[in-house]
Formats: sequence, C-alpha cells, structure tokens
Amino acid sequence: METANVLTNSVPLIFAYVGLALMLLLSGIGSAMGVSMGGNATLGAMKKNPDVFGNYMLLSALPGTQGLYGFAGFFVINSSGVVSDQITMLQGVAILAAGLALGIVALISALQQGRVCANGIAAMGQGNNVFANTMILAVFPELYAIIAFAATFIINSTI
Amino acid sequence: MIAEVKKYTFLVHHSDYSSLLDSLRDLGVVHIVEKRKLDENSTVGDDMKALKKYREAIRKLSALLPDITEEDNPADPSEALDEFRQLLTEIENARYQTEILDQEAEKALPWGDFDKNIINKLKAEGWRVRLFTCPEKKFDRKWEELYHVEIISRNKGRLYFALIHKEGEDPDLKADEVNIPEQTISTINTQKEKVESKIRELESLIEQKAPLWKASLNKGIEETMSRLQYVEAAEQADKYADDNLYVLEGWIPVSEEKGLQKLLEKSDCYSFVSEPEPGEKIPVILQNSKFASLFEPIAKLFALPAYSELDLTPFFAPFFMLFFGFCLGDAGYGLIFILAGFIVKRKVDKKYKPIITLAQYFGVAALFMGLLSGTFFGINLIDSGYTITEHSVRYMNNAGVPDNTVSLLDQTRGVHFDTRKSFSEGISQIIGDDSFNKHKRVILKSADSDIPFLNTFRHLMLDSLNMFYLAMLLGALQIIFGMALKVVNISKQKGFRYSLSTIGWIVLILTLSVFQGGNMLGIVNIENLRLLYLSLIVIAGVLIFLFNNPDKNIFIRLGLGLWDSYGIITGVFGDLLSYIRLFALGISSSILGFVFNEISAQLLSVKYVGWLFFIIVLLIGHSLNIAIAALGSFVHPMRLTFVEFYKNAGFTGGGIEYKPFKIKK
Repeated sequence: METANVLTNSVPLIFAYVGLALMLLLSGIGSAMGVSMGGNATLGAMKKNPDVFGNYMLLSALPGTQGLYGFAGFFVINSSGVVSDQITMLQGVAILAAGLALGIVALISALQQGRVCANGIAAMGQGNNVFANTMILAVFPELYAIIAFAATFIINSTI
Repeated sequence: MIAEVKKYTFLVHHSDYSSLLDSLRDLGVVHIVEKRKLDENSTVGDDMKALKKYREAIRKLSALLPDITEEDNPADPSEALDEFRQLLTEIENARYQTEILDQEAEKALPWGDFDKNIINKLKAEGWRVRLFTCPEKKFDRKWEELYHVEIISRNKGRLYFALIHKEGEDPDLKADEVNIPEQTISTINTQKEKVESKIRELESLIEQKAPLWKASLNKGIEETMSRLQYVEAAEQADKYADDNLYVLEGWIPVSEEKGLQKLLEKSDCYSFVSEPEPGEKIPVILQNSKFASLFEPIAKLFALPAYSELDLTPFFAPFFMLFFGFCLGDAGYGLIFILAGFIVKRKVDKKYKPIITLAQYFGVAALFMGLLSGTFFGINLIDSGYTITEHSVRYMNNAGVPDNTVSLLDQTRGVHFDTRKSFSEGISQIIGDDSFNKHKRVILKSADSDIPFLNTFRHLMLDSLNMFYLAMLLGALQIIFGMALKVVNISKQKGFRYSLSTIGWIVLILTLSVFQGGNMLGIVNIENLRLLYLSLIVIAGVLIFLFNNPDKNIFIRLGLGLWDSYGIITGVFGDLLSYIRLFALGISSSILGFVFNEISAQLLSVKYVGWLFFIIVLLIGHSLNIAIAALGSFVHPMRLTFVEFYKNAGFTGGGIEYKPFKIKK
C-alpha cells in the first residue's frame, strides 16, 4: 500500500521531468542539426564565393534559435515552482504535453529552417544574390516554434 | 514617395552619336533604357576579362593584407597588376620549393651529415656503402658480427644503419634498403633557409607596394568599368535608315529635366518626351523624409515598388521600429544600441552613418518597449517588490480609494511581496476581488518598490499576458492600416471604384471588432445600436459581394466575393496570429538575459575571484544574447512587413533601380 502511494505521488513528477527533458532534448537536437546544415553548405559555398562569409554565417545561425526557445520554455516552467513534491496530476500532464509540443515542433522547424538556409547559402555560392529572400523565407518555419513556445508560456501561466 | 520620371527619346545621326553620349555622361542623370546585354564574346570581351583579373587581384591583396590604406597617386593599373601577379607566382613557386625540401629533409634526417666523396672513394676501391632501416626489435645482433654494420640513428622504434661490403658480395639482411640521399640534412636546411628568406623578402616587397597597388588596381577597375558602361550605353541605341539614324531612350527624374533640356538645345539631336506608361520597366527613385529614408535599405532588400504604386517605406517604418523594440524587449539593450551608436558613428565611413542612426532608432524603440514590459538587462522591473507604506496609504486616500478599503490595506503595512502576482493575490484576499480590480491601478502605483526610482511609472508596465494582447493589437492595427493603404493604392492605379470591396472588408472588420469587442468589454451595447450595427454589416456585405470588380457581371462578382471571403477570412486570421512572434521573441530574450544574471550571481559566491567570473559571465552572456536577439528582432519584423503588411497593402513591386549613366567617382 505504502509503495503504491509513493508511486502515484511520483507519477506526475515523472511526467513533468520527462516533459522538460523532451523540451530541451528535441529542440536542442533540432538546432544543432539545423545550424550544421548551414555550416556545411557554407563550407561548400566558400569555395566559389568567399566574399560574403558574413551573410552565410547569419543564415547558418538562424536555426539556432529553436534550441533557445526550448531552453526558455524549460526555464519558465522550472522557475515557476510547479515542479515539486506537491505537483498535481494535471500539472504533470500539462508539462509533459508542453514538452512534447515545443520539443517536436522546434525539432522539425529547426531542421526545415536549416534546409532553407542551406539551399540559400548554396545558391549564394553560385552567385545568386538571394540573401534577403532566404532570410525572409527561412523565418517562415520558425514561426511555429515561436508559437509552440508562446503556448508553453501560456500553459505555464494557467496551471 | 516615388520621384516622378519622364522618358526621353533621342534621335541622332550616327556621326553625332558619340558626342551625345559624352554629354549625357557628363550630365550624369539619365538612366538609359537597356535593350541588350553585353557578353564576353563582344568587342569588350578583353575589358571584361581584365575587370575579372583586377577584381581577383584586389581580393587576393585584401586577403593578404586586410587593413591597408590606398595611396593617393595610383600608378599604371595594368603594370601594377602584372607586377603583383608575378610576385604572387614567385612566392607560390618558392613555397612549392620549400615543400619539396621538407620532403627531402625528412628522408635525409636519420642519416645525419656525411661526405658523399668518401662514399665515392670507397666505391672506387671496390667497397659499397648501403643504407638500411628496420624496427628495432627485428634487428639481429648477429649482423654486427657477420658484416660491417654501423648503426647511425634511432628514432620512434626504428633503427637506421649503414652496411659496408665488398662489390659482388650480397649480405642477406631482413631490413628495408633506402637510397642514399642526394644531399645531407645540413645542406638541405641551408637551402631551405635561403628560400624562406626569399619568401620573406618578396612578402615585405608586397607589403611595401600594397598601398600603391591597391590604389592602382582600384583605378583599373574604375577605368575598365567606365569603359564598359560607355560601350554598354552605346549599344542600347536602335539603328534605322541603313544605320544612319540612332534612336536612344532614357529616363530622367523631372527635377533634373532642365539640365537635360539645356544640353539638348546645344546639340544636334532631336528628342521627344513621353510620360511613363503601364507595362514599361520604369526606374524607381525613392524620395522620403529623413526618418523614412533610413528604412529604404530595408525596403530594397525585398523589392522596389512599381512606379505606379505607393511607396510603402514611410508607412512600415514606424511599425518596423516598434516591432524591433518589441522583439528585443529590453530597455538596457536599447540603451546600449543608442550609446554604442554615438561611439561607432565617429569612426565609420560617412556612407554607413544612416545605418547606425537606424540602429539607434531601433535602440529607442527597444528602450521604450523594454520599459513597457519591465525588462532592464534581464532584470524584471515589474516584480521588484511591493510594500504598502505610510506614503502608499496617503496616496490611496488622495486618489479616492474608499476609506474602509484603505484601512483594510493599512493592515498589511510593511509586509513585503516579491512579485506583482503575489501582491495582487494577497491584496485581493484582504479587500475582495471586486474592490481590488476597481482600484487596481491606484493600489499598484501606491505600493513602494525595492527600487524607489520605479515608483512613478511601474504600474504602467504590462505583464506578459497584456504584452500578448498588445502584440495582437499592433498586428490588427498594421493589417487594417495595410488594407487602408490598399484602397489608396488601387485608387491611384486603377480608380476608386475598384477599391470598394477592400473598403467593405475594412468596414466589416472594424464594425465587428468595435461592436463585438466593445460589447465584451461592456463599453458598447449592441442591443441599443442594433440598427447601426446591422446596417454597417449590410453595407460591408454589399461592397464585398457586389462591387468587387466593376468590369464583371453581377453573378461573377458574387462568385469573386465568395472567393475573396475565403482568402481574407483565412488569411487575415493567420496574419494576425503571426504577430504572436513579437510577444514570444520579447519574452525569450528577456528570459535568456535573466538566466545569465542568475548564473553570474551564483558565481559571486566563489571566494576571492568570484566577482571576476561574475563580470566575465555577465559580459559574455549579455553580448551573446544581444547578438542573437538583435538578429531575430531584425528578421522577424522584416517578415511581418514583407509578408503580412505588404500582402494586405496589395504591394506588387517590380520597379527597377535607377542607375544614371555617369562617370564614377
């Protein structure tokens, strides 16, 4: 009976931490992969058109923000004091859901943004002046990670 | 605003053509209509190749010596180019030589210094000297007894030894034989030193001549460019009457017209003027106020407006600035932008000054938005402690809070609440939710902050939920403003009656938001104004469904209205949600700032050197955050401008850049 109690008490806590872990994990992986795509494309483009390294770098850095949203989401929840012994089932599940939502959206958004940036960099390497266009197009997939972060923020303020 | 231009068509006899071109180039304001492009196979192929060579040389020179200043008196460009290229080849050859010498040195190193003459002498006497190497473990001690074996060196577990034997004998050694090096290690090293000092000499020669060369190469680029431009301009004429009559077209801003007319009076050229017509590629010159012109580079990043269109730069400028501030969302960072701007401005070239000024305006916006959201270098100003003091009680009395409420609040005098949330909850419990909500602003203002400086304006700061609404509100404003501009744009291009359906949409959106929103907030009572409300909606509906395209018949218009509704309802909703990014980016940058503050504050507890770590982490952390946040704060408003705002304002774009034919200085 005692063990069962301990288990039920810790289930929401486990949910919450799994949620936080997913949030950090998936968004971090996404950003790491996204920025490397840009970096790889930059190295290729440098061979043909090394004059605009600054622009390549800015584009490569764009998919880095998803990881920060993941971290910011983690920080918001972690510092709100919800994750404690008194955590309720509702709060635990809410944090798990927020983690899944932000994590997966940030992961895919960073990967796709990395792809847009890498293509833009490759095109600039060929001499096409598409810096501004790439910037604008690359921000399209980022919006959804931002919205997922906003949702995390709202979830945190309502639980 | 877009400057007015006119098209001039010049008709000239072929013999006067070059003098016309010369005088047009001296005038320097006519944008010649491009009819054909030059390619490398044409007469100017050599110039084009030369241009490429100059550019490459400049690039190599700047890569070698990044901060050289140009000398004032350039020399002959082609000579400079040849000299530079020759020196580069010499250096390259010398480098190649050192590589070969390195390889030889590696081979010769184990054998030390020896005299080749002695080997030759031995050979003459019938003795052979051979060199071997093998792993130390494989070396058989018997060899030393059986043959004349001399160990020369040991290195990384290998033995290097020489074997001397009579011609004709063939000792069987299980080791790898190597050829006797052509040169000994010391001769190789002296050679290498010679080559290296030659490289240094050549490099210092380049360094010495670089300022002159840079100037000369740039001169070469300019000269070739202007030759190319001249030929290119000359090529744009259409030829008639057995190539006797040349016809050239060019655009000129109306403000410069007088100069051209004066020029034409003196020349033997017949010309006529025409107004821009739709469908032509017309050069667009943006003319804006001092403030709005700062945003022109941003507008050009996307596309120039078409000539007949409205220039949207002055209309997105204030929004862009505000959005940047919203996304950066930190008053401290804003201050840095403003102050750093003043320092940087002194040092940079004149042409970059407007960009710095723009950054300073962004800083002002960030300062304002940071104060509104209560963030200063990541410090949360809203949650800066709430205490009811004697002064608070007096203030509430004067501000008209009922006496019994004030006396209830007086009970909490001296109690310290950390955050606005805990303070609000605490007070609500004492005086009741209704009473608190009624006097919320006064109570918040009266409470003393831990930072006394904030007392006067802290109650104005918006918490995150209100920032969220503010982001949406700004979005709604920009979208409706964009639609209003679309009305102006369409009226300007096609006529007012084509803009009626857009007006219908604006009326509909405004009516719905004022009445429904007002009803929810309790400001507007729909029941009393039902007639006005319904009639406005009917007017909007009529405009949307019956007046969307005056050229089509009524049934097609109905269909078009439906199609438009689908587009606008889904589009506007999506556009509005897109503005959430403003709120989220602002929050995330202030959270990261806060995190760096926390981390560095923890380092303070490290003994003796804690403060050093504190400063380092604080500096690096905030610099990093500023860089990342500034990039995001620039790119995201850009998207909101070019996608959401331009779309709703009906921007089409497609103007070409105004490039007058002139001598480059």
